Amino acid sequence: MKIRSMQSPLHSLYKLGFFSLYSVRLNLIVGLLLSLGWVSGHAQGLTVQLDDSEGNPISGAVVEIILPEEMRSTYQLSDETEVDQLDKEFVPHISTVVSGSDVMFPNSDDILHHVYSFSPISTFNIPLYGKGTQNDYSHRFSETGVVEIGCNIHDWMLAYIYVAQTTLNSISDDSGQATLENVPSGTFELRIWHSRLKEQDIAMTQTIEFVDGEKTVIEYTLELERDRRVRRAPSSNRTRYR
Amino acid sequence: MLAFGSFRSRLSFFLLCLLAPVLGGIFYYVNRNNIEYTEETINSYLELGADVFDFTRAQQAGTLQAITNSLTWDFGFRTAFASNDPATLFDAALNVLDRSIGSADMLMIVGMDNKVVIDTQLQGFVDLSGSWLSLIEEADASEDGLAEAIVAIEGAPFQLIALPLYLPRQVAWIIGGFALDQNFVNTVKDTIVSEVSIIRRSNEKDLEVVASTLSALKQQVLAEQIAINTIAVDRLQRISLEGEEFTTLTRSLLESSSGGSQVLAIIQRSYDENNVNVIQFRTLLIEFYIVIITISAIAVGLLSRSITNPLVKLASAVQKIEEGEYGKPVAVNSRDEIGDLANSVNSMARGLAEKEKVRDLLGKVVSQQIAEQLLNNPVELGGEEKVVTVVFSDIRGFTGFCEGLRPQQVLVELNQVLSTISNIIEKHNGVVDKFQGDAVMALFGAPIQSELDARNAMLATLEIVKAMETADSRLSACVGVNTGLVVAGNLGSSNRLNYSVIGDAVNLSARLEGLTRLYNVTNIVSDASKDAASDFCFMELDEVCVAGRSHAIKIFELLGVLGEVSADKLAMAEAFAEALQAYRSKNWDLAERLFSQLLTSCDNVALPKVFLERISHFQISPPPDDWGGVYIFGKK
Repeated sequence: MKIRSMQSPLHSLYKLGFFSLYSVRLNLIVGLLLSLGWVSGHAQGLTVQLDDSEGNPISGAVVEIILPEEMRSTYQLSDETEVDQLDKEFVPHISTVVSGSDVMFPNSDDILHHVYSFSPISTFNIPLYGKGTQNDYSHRFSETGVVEIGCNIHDWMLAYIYVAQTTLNSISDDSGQATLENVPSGTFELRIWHSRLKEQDIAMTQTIEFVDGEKTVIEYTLELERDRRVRRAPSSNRTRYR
Repeated sequence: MLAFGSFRSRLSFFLLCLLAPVLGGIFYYVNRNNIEYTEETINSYLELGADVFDFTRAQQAGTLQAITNSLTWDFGFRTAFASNDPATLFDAALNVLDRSIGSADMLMIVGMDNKVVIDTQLQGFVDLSGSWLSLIEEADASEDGLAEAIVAIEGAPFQLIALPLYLPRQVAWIIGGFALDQNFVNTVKDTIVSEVSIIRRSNEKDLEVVASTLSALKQQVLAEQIAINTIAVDRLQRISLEGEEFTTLTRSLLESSSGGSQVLAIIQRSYDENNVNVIQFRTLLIEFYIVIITISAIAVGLLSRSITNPLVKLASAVQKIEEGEYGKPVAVNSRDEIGDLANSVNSMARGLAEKEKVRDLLGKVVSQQIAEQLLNNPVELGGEEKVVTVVFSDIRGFTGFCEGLRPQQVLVELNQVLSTISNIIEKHNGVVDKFQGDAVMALFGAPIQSELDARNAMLATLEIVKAMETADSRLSACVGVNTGLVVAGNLGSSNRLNYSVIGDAVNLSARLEGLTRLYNVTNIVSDASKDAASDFCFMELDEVCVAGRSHAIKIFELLGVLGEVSADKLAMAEAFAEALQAYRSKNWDLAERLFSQLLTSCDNVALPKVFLERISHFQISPPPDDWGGVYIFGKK
């Protein structure tokens, strides 16, 4: 993982797109305000722009700020969420939950699915079930980490559940931007995860100082591995068995 | 030029000359094309076989992939893998191999860290290296994570496939493999009906036949051949193994990057199997040829027989004609040239028969020699002068002999006698000129002259005389012999000719025959004839001047061949000569006395009587003074 524009925001001026230009401008404004000694309390924002080495935006990446343990409780709001199975795909493909949350895996298809996970933080499987059944089943993810969800019938079906420590996480959108509001002031670790990041990169974190009232804009260039996935069987596009 | 004993062999030879190059040429081209065609067929079979080999290998690889892939779908296997339980995974892998019915022989699971998790072949290494690592790297680099390779496991080449294990993201590599072993080559051979050998070359000269459908001996020869000659991959070649020709195609299954080791699949098809076809076809062709030649030979036989049979008939007919048989015409019923020839031969035979008839008749009417003379020379009037001995023979006592016989019987008897005389004359090369009643005129020296003519005439005379004496006691011959110049030739008119002789000598001969009665001798020979024939004993009878002749001649009686005449006769002849001498010297008394003595001593009483009569006549009217003893006959 390369981190650019941290020490040289001006340099990034030439590299950023429209939103980045805006961010840089904001950055300059924040810097100006900071120099005047004007502080606005707990409302710092963070925008992370993720691109690959060829400048293409990276979507589907999770950005999380790792808070010290004593600060986490404010942001640990466990929730209930669901990963649906629609047209032989998991929807959504990537979701984030705070540890301790329950995730439901309803089946919206007319056929049966066999949901499983062999991820070390949470191994489970829901043997073959159909639409309407297992609706009350939910799985609680207590440990933080990434869970890879598969279907034993449809090998190409793959979902990632990012189990975060706190709600201070975000998934980058199609423009490669992940945005967090209300980040407390202080120096924290920033963790970036993507399914195609190299293993050792996932473990890497970056320490960032968040200053009161200052909008932080960070741009990262990530090196992604080639994605090898099981191809969806062409015949599986048929909605019905026959 | 070749000499042929028979027309058939000539015809057969030419037929052979005609057939042999045609049949030979056909045989050569058909056989060559057949061999080429079957070779092409074999080659195309082999190329097809090689394609099927590739296909089979691809299909086996596909089956392997399916088997290996199905393993990754097994939730139990996934669970076992997730639970990091190698023992269970090993059992599961063995189970899969067991269920693959020989389609898979080995399984290996390799972690993403390229460390072996399980290996059914128990090769013992943990970290992948060499070909194994290359396989995984190749799979990793590919779009769908698949890679194939042939890797040697403990010397035996294995067809391997590597594919990822998803859980649901890739967590490991699964490598499946099947051995390219004897089972494999046997299976492939069943499919492509060609010999298959898998050969591993670990370095330039170190070759090992891993598996082969060839016999052990051929495998060894094949390995030696490949060791010597660098074998071209994917190109047809001809290799001889233990005397059997193989068309050969080589596939490189594994070529290590370092160039050291190599695995080759050698696919071969024997030419022998199509040799069977070639031989079968050749045999068929030869049988066909035998039939053609047999039919041709029969045709030639029939054809030549249709020609030679009439020819043989003609030849035998001509031979018979040569022998004088003209009676049987040749029976040839064909309208071709041979028929024409047969007709010609038949008409020739008829012509010859007619000529022979003429000749025969001529020979009977005239003498054989005259007939020949007439037939062989142009018949012309006129003749040539020749010295001929003319023999006139008459039968004395024939009239008395015929008394009381009917004319028919007379003719029979006469013909018998004349035949005897004719035969004697012909035997001594004389020619019977004509018959006149019971008289025969014969020629010695015409138409063919010889030095022995006079001698032959003498011998014939003696034999005729003797024959007549023995034939009947009532008969005796009287023969006149004279030699002289005559004209011999065809006499008569242009329509009717007669080969004969004319001249004074003929007349004299007839006169001499007439004189035999006077002198009561069997023969009288003129002095000309006597001079012409030596070796004979004569007795002078008289000196006469016959009617119509101006000069006298001495006449003699032929006594016999010199030395064969009896002493009595010689003594008598001597006494007669003495008496004749006295007679000529007009010593009438002595002559009379001597002739009178001869009347008692001589057999022929009539002879001295002739002279005694003349003496008594001369004693009354003596002859003129110049008389030398010649007696002149006044009339014929």
